[in-house]
Amino acid sequence: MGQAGYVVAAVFVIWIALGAYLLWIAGLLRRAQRDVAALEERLEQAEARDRDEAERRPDRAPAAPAHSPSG
Amino acid sequence: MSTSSTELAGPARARPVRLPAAPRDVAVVALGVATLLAMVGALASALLLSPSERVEGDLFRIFYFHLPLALLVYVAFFVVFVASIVYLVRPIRWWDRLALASAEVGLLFCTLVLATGSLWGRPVWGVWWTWDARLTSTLVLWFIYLGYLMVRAYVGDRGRAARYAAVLGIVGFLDVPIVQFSVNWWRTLHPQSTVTASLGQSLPAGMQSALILGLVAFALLYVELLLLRMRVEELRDRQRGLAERVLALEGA
Repeated sequence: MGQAGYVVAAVFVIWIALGAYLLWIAGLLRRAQRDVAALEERLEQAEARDRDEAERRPDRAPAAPAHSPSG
Repeated sequence: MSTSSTELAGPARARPVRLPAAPRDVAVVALGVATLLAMVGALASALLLSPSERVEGDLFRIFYFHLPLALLVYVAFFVVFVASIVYLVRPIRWWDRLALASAEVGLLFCTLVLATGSLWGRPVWGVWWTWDARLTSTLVLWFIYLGYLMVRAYVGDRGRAARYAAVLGIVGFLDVPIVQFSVNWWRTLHPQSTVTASLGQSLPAGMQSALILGLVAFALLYVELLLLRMRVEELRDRQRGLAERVLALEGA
């Protein structure tokens, strides 16, 4: 390998390694963003369910004494 | 990365909405473009514009990548050192993220320093590798920070992993002055400390500008990679927090 060959090899190694690392980080970033978005949606749904249940509970409360054996 | 998702307060709260890119994200993209331009400029300057060296000829062009990368390894591990100390004193997660990101980028740069050094050493010294003090201490440094990342990967408890890694980040930095001064303390094949000499007036103008451009390009790249890697960790932390809240709500 001539002198230029070693220089080209060095440049090649640097750019390939940096490019691979960047791609890897981009993949991690995309996956993390997707997971966060999915969790935010799940949290939203869970909170909505929680709210619905909380709203339904006071409706049931007055009816409870009617079914009570002691009433 | 160009957009951020958030929730609105009030009745529209249920739907996450896409907002325009946050200023921080715009800055990261702008820095990425600047880094790419600087890297292309540095490459052109090193390969096409700088003159050939009298003794080593074109081989000397490896120097314009090798030295900036080596200097940034010192910077990266110094950042790990400082962030680790601060994290042990005040365990705020941001410092831990900074240390982790800097260690990872530093290890990548250290790998490239060893690789480019080997590619430079083969035609000049006649060997790919020799157990010279500078090379050996750099290899030890590489193993120390590989160990640092392994501690983070394999210690189960996140807080404990961060503390162990912080201790290793502080102790491991002791090897950096050994790497730097090894060429003065022992007789080595590696040239004497070129850091101050090369940045001074010892290089002709064309070579000096190629070196400075290389330094600027790799410094920008270091910052860009650091920010991206920290962003990944930030999102992972957010993910953990959200998962805990979801489990608490769904389990209730």
